Amino acid sequence: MDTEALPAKGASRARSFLSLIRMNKEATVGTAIVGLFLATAIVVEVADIFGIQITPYNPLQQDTGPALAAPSISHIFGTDLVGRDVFSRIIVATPNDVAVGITVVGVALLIGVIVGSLAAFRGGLLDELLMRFTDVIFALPVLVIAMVIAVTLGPGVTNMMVALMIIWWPPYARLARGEALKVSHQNYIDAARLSGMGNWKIITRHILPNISVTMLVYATLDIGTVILVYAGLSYLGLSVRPPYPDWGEMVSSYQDYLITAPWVPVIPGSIIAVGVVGFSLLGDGIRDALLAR
Amino acid sequence: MANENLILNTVNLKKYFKIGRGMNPFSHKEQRYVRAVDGVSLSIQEGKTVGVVGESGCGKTTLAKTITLLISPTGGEIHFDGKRIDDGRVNRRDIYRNMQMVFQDPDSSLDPQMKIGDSIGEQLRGLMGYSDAEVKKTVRESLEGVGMPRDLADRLPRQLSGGQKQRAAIARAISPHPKLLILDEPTSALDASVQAQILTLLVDLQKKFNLSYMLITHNIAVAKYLSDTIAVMYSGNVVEYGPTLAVINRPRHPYTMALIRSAPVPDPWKRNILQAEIKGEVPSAINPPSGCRFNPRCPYAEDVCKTEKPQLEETSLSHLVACHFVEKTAAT
Amino acid sequence: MTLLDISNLTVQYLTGGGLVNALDSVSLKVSENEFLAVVGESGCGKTTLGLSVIGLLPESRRVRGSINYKGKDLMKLGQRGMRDYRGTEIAMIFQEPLTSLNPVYRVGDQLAEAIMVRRIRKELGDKATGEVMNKVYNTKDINIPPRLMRGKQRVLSDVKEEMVRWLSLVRIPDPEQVLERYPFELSGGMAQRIMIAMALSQEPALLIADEPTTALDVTTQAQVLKLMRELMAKVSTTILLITHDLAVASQVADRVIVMYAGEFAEDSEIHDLFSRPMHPYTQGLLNCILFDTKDGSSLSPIHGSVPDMRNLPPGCRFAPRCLHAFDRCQSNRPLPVTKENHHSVSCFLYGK
Repeated sequence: MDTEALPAKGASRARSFLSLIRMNKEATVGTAIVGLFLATAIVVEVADIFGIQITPYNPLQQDTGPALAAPSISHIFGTDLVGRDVFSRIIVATPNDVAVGITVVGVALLIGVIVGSLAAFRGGLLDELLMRFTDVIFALPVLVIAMVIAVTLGPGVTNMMVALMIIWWPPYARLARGEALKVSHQNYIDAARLSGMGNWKIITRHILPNISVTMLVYATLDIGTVILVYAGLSYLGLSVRPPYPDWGEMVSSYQDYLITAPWVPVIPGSIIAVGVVGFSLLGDGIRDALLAR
Repeated sequence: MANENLILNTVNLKKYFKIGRGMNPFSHKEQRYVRAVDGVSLSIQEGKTVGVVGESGCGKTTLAKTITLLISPTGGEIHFDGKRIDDGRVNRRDIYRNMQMVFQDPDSSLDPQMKIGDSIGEQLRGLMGYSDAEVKKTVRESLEGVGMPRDLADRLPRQLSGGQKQRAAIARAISPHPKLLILDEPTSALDASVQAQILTLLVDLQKKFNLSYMLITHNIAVAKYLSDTIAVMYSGNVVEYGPTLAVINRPRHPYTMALIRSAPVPDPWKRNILQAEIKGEVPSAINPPSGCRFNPRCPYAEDVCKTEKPQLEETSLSHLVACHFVEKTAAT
Repeated sequence: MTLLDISNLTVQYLTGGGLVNALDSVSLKVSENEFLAVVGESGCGKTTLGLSVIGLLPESRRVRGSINYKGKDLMKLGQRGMRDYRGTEIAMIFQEPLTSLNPVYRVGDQLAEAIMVRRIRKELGDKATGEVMNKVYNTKDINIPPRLMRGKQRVLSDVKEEMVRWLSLVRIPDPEQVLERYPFELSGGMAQRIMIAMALSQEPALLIADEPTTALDVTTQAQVLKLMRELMAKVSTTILLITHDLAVASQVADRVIVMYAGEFAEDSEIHDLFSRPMHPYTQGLLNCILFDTKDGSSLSPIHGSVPDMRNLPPGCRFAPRCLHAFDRCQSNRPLPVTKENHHSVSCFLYGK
C-alpha cells in the first residue's frame, strides 16, 4: 500500500515489546511462569556454588517427616516414599530442565542457522550435501541416541543435553534455509552485491539479521518441547539417578503411588506441564510482539 | 548507429538457465534450457535512455541482471565504458562505481532491518571507501537530491511509503555518481501521481548528471516518456529497435503493433482497446516455436516464418525490425 | 432504473493503532446496464466500497449508512441474508485470478459447481437461504455425484454443454480440454477469463471487478477488458470496475467515480470527465497521465502525498495539496453538488 504514513518516532524496541506483552494476557502469564522458573534455577545454582541450602529441607535427607505424608504446612508438597520433602526436591531439580531446555535450543539454533544459511546462500552441491546430511541426522531417533549415550558415557543431565544437541538442530537448519532463501531473493541483496559486498559479509550483514525474527520465535516455542522430551528421558532413568532429584525421574519412581498418594507423582508431572506451557505462552507472546510490527 | 560515446554495448548476449534433469549422471535425458535471453545486441549512448519494452517472460529482467553481472552470461559480449566486462576477470568494484540499478519492488529494495541512511551509504562504503563522516554527509545530500528531507536517513523502511522507498533506492543508486543506471520497472508498483513524481525526478537527474538510462518496462507510456530509443523484446529477442517516436508511431513488427494497440490510451474518444486483437499466449521459454518465435500468433506468418528466425534489419534510418515480411506491416 | 443506491456509506476499520477511516459518507447510484469505473489511488477506499456492497468486509469493520440493492438495504441483512445475493445477484472478481480458483479441483469441477448453484437457486426460488450448497452436493435430492468430474463419474451432459458454451463465450480455446485442467496449468489471462465466466454464469445483475487486469500483461489486459465490455451487453449485467488506472477506465467505462482518501471527489460521464474535469484532484490526475515524450511534454505531478488515514486533516482532504484551496477548504468538508449532465463534485469551488 502506498499511503505516505507520517514517519513515527519509534519507541525503543524493548519498551514496545514489554507493552505488547502486558496487553496480551497469555503472554503475561507465560512471562511470569518463565521468570519464576528462571529465577529459581539461578538461585539454586548460585546457592549450590556457595554451599547454602535454600530449601526448607535437605532434598536428599530421608525421614524429614512421615513417609508419603500429604501436603501440609510443614511440607508444602508432602513427602515421598522415604520421607524426603517433595517441595525441596522440586526446587533443587529446577536448573536441570531449564538448563537443558535453553542450552539445547541455543545450540540447535546456532548449528541450524549456520548450516541453513550457508546451504541457502551458496546453493548447488554444498546445499545438497548439507541438506542430505541434515536429513540423516533428522532420521535418528531421540530415544536410541539417548540410550546409546547413556550406555557409553553414562547417564546424567549433561550427557542427556549432549544427546539432545546432536539430533535437535535439523528443523532449525531447514527453517533457516527456507528463510535465508526468501531473503536472498530480495532486491536489497542484489543491491548489496552492486556495492561490491562479498558473500560472507552479505550473510552476516543482511541475511542473518533478517531471518533472526522467525528463528527466535521458533526457538522460544521450542524450549517447552525440549523440556518435555528431556523429562521423558529422565523418566526412563537416563538422566539423574536417585537420590538426586529430577522432575522426570520423580514421576517415574513415584508412579506406583498414584492411587495411594497421588500428590507425589502428580506434582512433579504438573510442574513439568506448567513449565512447558509457560515457555509456549511466552513464545506466542514474543511471536505476536515481533510480528505485529 | 553511431559508435562514438557508447556507454554500453551488448553483442549477441545470451543467458540460458539449465533445467534440472535429476541427479543421475548417466541419464539419457537431454539437457534442456530456458533460453531467457537468446542473442540480444543493443547499445546505449551517453546521456541517453534506451527503453526495453516487453511483457512478462520476454527476458527483460534477465537481460538487466546479466548486464550488471548479477547473473553471469552464457554467451555473447558486454562492453561497458569502453571495456569488455563479460570475461569473468573484471573488478566488480570498478564496474559498479559506474553502473547501478534500481529495482522494481520498492518494498524489497531496502533491508528492513537497516536505517535508510545506512542502506544508501552501502554503495558509498563499499565502492568509494568513504569515511563515516563523508558517508553521512553524502547520504544526506543524496536524500535532498531526490527531494526528501535529510532526517529520513534515520528512519526504517517500514516507516516510509512506496514512493519514498523508491526515492531512497534511487538515492542509493546515484550516490556513487555512476554513468549508467539500469531501471527495472521503477514505477510499476506506484500510484499514478507518485509515478509522475518519480519520472520527473529521473528526467531531472539525467539532465543534471548526464546519466545514461536503461529503462525496463511493460508500460508503453512510461517508455515513451523517458526513452530516446526503444527496444521491443519478445521471448528472449529484440524484435524491433529504433527511435522512440518511430517505434511507437510507426511500429513495423507485428508484435510491436499488437503491443501498442493493446496499451490503454487515456482518451475516451479513442477506444483502441476495443479493436485490439491478439490471439494466443506468450510461448514457453523452454520449447519456443521454431523459426520466428512470434509465428504462431502472427497474422502475417507464412511458411518461412516457421523455419527461419529473422534477424534485425534496418528498414529506415536507425529503425531495425526482425521480420521476414516488413513490407506487409508497412502497408498497415 | 437504479440498481444500486449507496447512501452516506461510512466504513471504519479497527486496528491496533486505532480507528482507520476507510470510507467517509460516500454516496453513489448505479443504474442498470451501466459500466461504471471507480477510480482512485491506494488507500482511497475503492476496494472497501466493493467489499461493502458484496458484504465481504473483515470482522474489524464498523459501518454506517445504507446500500440499497433493488430497494432492499443490504446493510440490514446478516451474513445469512447476504448469501442470497452474494455470488448470485451480485458477483465479484478479484485481482489475482490464480488464487481465486481452488488449486485442488479441476476447472470443470469449479465451473460446474457454479452452474449447479444457479440451477438449484432457480429451483428453490425464494426459499433459497444457505441450503443451496447442501443441495448441490446432496446426491439423494438431485442425483449429482459429489465430485462432479472425478474419474468415471461424469457430470450431467447438459451441464457440460453449458460449461463449454461459457468458456467459448470468454474466448477460451479448446474449452473441453481446459475443463480437465487444474488451475496451476493456466495462465493468468485464462484464469481471469474463467473467473469472469464463473461469475457471469450466475447471471448476476451486478458484477464488481476489483483491479481484474492489474496482474495481467498489457495484451492480455486488452483482451479481458474488451471481453468485459462485450459481455455486458450480451448478458445484461452492470459492471462496477475498480481500478487505479484512468487510462483503463477511459477505454471501457461509461461513467467514472473518482475517490480520494476515502471520500467521494467527482462523478461524471467519461467524456465529460476528460473534457471538463471539475475536482482539482481529477485535474491533477489527468496532468499525471503520460501522453508524450519527456521533450514533448512537461509532466506536472501533484505536489505532496496522500494523507495518513489515521491522521486526516480537518476540512477537505485534498486541501493540503490543492492549488485552488482557500480558507473554507481547510476547516469544512465539502458536500457533493450536482452540475449539468449529472456531473457531481465535492468541492467548494462549485458551491455548498
